[in-house]
Amino acid sequence: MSELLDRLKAGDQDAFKLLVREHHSTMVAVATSAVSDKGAAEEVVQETWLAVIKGLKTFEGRSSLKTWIFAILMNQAKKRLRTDGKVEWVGRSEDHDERFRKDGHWNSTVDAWPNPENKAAHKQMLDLVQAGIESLPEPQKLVVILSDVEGFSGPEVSEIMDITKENQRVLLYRARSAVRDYVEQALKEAK
Amino acid sequence: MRTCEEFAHDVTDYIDGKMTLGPRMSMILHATICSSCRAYRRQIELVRNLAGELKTSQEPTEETVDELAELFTNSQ
Repeated sequence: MSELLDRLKAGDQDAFKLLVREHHSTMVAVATSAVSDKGAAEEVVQETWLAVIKGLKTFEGRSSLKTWIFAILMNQAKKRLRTDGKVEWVGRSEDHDERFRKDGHWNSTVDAWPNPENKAAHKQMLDLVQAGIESLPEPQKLVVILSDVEGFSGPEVSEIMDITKENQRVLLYRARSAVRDYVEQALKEAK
Repeated sequence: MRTCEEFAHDVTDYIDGKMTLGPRMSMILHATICSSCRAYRRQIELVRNLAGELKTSQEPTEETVDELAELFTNSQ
C-alpha cells in the first residue's frame, strides 16, 4: 500500500489536500465532458469527493488510488445522467467504414496536412483538435479525454469507464479518427 | 498483405506502441508502399499529440482545497 494511502487512512489532512490538488481540476474537466454541463459537473465532483472520503477506510488498493477515484467519478456521472433523464453513454456496434471501398482501399487519396510551422499555425491546429473532441459523442469524447488528454493507460480507461479493453480500443480509434476527419474538413473549408 | 482499411483500424495500436513485432512489420511494409496510409498515420499521431497539449494544468483554489479538507477531517 502506498505511503499516501496509509496517511489518508490515518486521517492526515495534508495528505488529503495533496490528493485534491493533484486530481480536482482533472476531475472537473472529465466530469464536464461526461455530463456536458459545468454546474452538474461540479456537483458530480463534489459527490465523488464525498464518496472517496467515505470509501477510503475500506479501499484495499486493488487498483491505483487515481483509477479508483476516477471510476467513482464515472459512476457519479452515470447516476447524474440517469437523474436528468438523459441517455447513458454506451459503445455502439461496428458500422461499415464508408471511407473505404469493398476491397479495403481508400475511396479517395489522403493528402498530407501542411506542417504547423509557426506558433499561430500550431494554435490553429490545437483549437481544431479541441473543437473536434468537443464535437464527439460522449463515450468517444470521454475515452479520448481520459487517454490522450489526461494520459490514462488503456487498462485504466477500461476500469474507469467499466468497459471492455476491446471496447476502449474501438472507442479510442473512432474518436481519434473522427477528430482527424473534423480537422480535415475544417482545413478544406479554410482553403 | 494488409489493406488500407485494416491499416487505418490498427493505426491507434501502432502509434501507441501496442503491436507485436509481426503485425508491426506488416504496418511498416504497408506504409512503405501507400502514401495515403502514411499521411493518415501522421495525422492520427498529430491529433493524439495535440490532444495531450490540452491537459489542464490549473490547480484548484485554496478555498476549494480547504473546504474539501474540512469535510475530510470532519468525517474522521
